Amino acid sequence: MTGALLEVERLTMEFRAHRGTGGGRVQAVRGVSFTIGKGEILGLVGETGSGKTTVGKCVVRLLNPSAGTVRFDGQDITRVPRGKLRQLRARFQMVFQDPYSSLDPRMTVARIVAEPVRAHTTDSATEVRAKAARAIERVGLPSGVLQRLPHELSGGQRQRVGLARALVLEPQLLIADEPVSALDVSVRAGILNLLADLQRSMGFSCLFITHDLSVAEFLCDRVAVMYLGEIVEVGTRDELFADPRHPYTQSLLAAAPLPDPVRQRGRAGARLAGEPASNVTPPPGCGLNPRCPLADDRCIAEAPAFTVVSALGHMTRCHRVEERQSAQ
Amino acid sequence: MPAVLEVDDLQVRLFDRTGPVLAVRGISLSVRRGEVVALVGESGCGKSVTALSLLRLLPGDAQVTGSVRVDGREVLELSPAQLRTIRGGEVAMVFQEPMTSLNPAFSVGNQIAEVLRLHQGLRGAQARARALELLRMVGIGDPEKRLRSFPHELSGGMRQRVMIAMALAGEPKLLVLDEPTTALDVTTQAQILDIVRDLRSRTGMAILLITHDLGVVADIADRIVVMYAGAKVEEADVYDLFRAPRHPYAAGLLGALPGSAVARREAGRLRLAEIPGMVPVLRAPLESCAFAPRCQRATDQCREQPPLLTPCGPADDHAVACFHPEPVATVPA
Repeated sequence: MTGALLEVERLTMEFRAHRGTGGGRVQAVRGVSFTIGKGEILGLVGETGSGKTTVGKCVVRLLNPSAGTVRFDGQDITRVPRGKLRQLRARFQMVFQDPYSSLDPRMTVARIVAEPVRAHTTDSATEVRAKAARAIERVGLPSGVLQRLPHELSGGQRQRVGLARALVLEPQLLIADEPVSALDVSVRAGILNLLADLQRSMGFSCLFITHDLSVAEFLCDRVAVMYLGEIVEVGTRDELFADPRHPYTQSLLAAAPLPDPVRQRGRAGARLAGEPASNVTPPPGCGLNPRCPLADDRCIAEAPAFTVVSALGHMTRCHRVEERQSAQ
Repeated sequence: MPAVLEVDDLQVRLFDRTGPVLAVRGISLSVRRGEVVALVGESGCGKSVTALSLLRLLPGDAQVTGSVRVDGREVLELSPAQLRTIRGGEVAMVFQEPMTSLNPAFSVGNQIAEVLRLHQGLRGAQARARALELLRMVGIGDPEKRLRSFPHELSGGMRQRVMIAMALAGEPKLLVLDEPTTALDVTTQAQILDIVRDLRSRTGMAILLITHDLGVVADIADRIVVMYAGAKVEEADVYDLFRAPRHPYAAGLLGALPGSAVARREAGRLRLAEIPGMVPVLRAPLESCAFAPRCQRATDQCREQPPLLTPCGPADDHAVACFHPEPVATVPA
């Protein structure tokens, strides 16, 4: 894709495992590739331990990936020197899950939101204040909160402050890691509506990391599904939710209960048995093979490559899908 | 048939540094044999305090009034010794965090055997055989090995299965599940809900499910009780409530969820309902509807007197505490 703002290629991240687990290496992310176009929201979906947060941290280089490249607007940020990285960081910003621990409790909201402006621009104090005030207004908070401390705000208000801080420099890319998971539904709805509105008015691209499929379906243009450190399926929101192809995506969608008893109880429940394999010793071949009802010898012998299943670029890594596709 | 659990006008007053908090304000509910009743609401609505007060697990200075009857016996009047026989016996509870509810220093087998000894009088080989049976019931593979495992060796889903097995060890008439799947991934959650469904049909236990997750409620509950600021605002058959919520708060909760039947579309895009403001912390009795400050339907009447729970048909078990309930016709077909 030529219009891509972010291009991630064969991203790999390994950590040293805890002592007592045999001193192996945790393969948190195993060769992940994806792109995000200008103005596009890509959802990165997966369960605990799938590696989605690690991908987000590598993209903003809070972690230095073990291998692979992350190109932002054509520049490989995995190799750029610190000083250059600092300049680039003004253009991609992050929002975190926990609005309690991600805001400095001793700073006023005005200072928190102004900090990126101070760090990245040479704006005068008046300009800095004006930008912070504008950012606070944009996220739907009254100007009165500027003089408050984080502990005086509700969880939803704090998350709006986090968003104001991330957007104050009008970045091209927002990386949002489970930004609504700690919030109650009524508050969550406000943040999700706001994110959708801001994306439309400001036009930024977004990597939206979530475990909640309904949130991804609401907000994202395209969705990538991760399992055991790999992307197993990616497609447009409509194609992926209407016609999931990978056995993992299918069972993940079937397992998430719909808030509607008529539809929920009418569903056929194909359950995935067991739990994900260890990411210290991932199984050979396809990562899902120990749990997959469709697995055969080939799934153990060889890791599946991506099969493209639609004109819109819906693709998945599954031998069964590939076999059906080539039989047609 | 009499209900297994009957709660009548339960009031709970807790104390924090600033003074009393009216955590539960007159909750009444019942759960019959084989029935799953969901108690639903957001953080701070009093649902967990209600659950804890059923077994008198609240801090010592909590003031609890009203009535909690399990199988006809008044729990609020039991002696400490009688309480011990009920806790983990007739009434079992499973909490959100299986890691903090299990004792890290004892093996799984040991902890299940303790319940079997206290409540069933089983020891030695008998207790072991029953423990194995219970682990199989909750879908734990290789149960012989798991009996010797310690909690830290198990995954979150496995620990929650162990908690349910321990709860079943006392052959409870009432199982209270307090956010049992909130800490789990959806595929694991689905497995746990399958187990609960299976147990309900096999044992005929009454189940009170405390949750904030309306997807879980839609999946497994028969009836739903919606709480707001310590009080019951709506109660209905689960199908009725999800199709046509009458209380503005219940309607707001459903409208806030992508994928619910009442979510609205605006200009082709899904727009989630928002409920402005926050759940209040009540320190004194209210002379108004607690939801009025956040409610778009509120009138002077709502600000001057508290609404009582009244039937709102067509089903005779549907009731709402609201002067201006949502009209049924607002729901798109």
